[in-house]
Amino acid sequence: MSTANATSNAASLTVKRAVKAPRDLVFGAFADAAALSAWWGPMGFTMTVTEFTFKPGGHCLFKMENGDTVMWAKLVYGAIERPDRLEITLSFSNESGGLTRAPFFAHWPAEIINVFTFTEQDGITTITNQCCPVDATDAEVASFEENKHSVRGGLEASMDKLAVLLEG
Amino acid sequence: METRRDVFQAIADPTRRQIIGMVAAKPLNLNAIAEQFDMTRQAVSLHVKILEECGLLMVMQQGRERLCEAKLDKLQEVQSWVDQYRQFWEQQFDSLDKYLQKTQKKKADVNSKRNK
Repeated sequence: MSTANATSNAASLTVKRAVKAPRDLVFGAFADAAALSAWWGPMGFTMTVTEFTFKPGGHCLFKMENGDTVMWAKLVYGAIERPDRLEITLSFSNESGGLTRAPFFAHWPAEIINVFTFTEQDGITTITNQCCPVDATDAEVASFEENKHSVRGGLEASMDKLAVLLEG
Repeated sequence: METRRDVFQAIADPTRRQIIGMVAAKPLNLNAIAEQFDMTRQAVSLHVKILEECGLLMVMQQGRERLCEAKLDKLQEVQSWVDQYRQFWEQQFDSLDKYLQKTQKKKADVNSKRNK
């Protein structure tokens, strides 16, 4: 069961799933390298975790293999609120964790943020994953807005100097 | 790091989504777009530049004006990503569910042995 979320972002989506398991166990399946290796990854691929730090700002680097096909990917952890909420930014990477383009898809976001929420009722845990491409241009626009003022400031300072020179 | 430019970047920002909406209706010149926003013309111009670099918008010089026209076929890429990523997570959750059931069964087996 899943519903698209068109309100906040044209490219975002929400995927929901109810599983018959207590919430602690479900959260634990994300929080442990061995558990994660047991279920994560595209069908038919085996997952090997090479780096794993489960804390805000930490990451998980892993290899996915199927015959001759090898892919690397990286999870970067944002906020971690056990067992309610978990933020994971997912990207394809090289073996040293550097960002790469998606290997198979011509059009794929470089980084996708996944916000998981976990709620439990009567032994059923509902997992909600809100996914959205990460926008790196926010930072660009912000730094542009900041620079604009410093450029203007710099220009005004130069004009002042020029005026002093001319008057002198 | 090389600056990323893809269609997802283009639509991740609410201002840019609004700009696409505006020029999708009809081509508009940059000033007409800028007038609609409570930000500097330069900031709007930067958003337009990003949209252009992402291939969602074409800017044509017409005399002294810069006319912006939408190229909406690019948006199809977004739908294709959304569909594929949804599929990916449906599969991930299937796999997670299997893992959880197996883990619980193992635990239950261990407990029942212990109780014997």
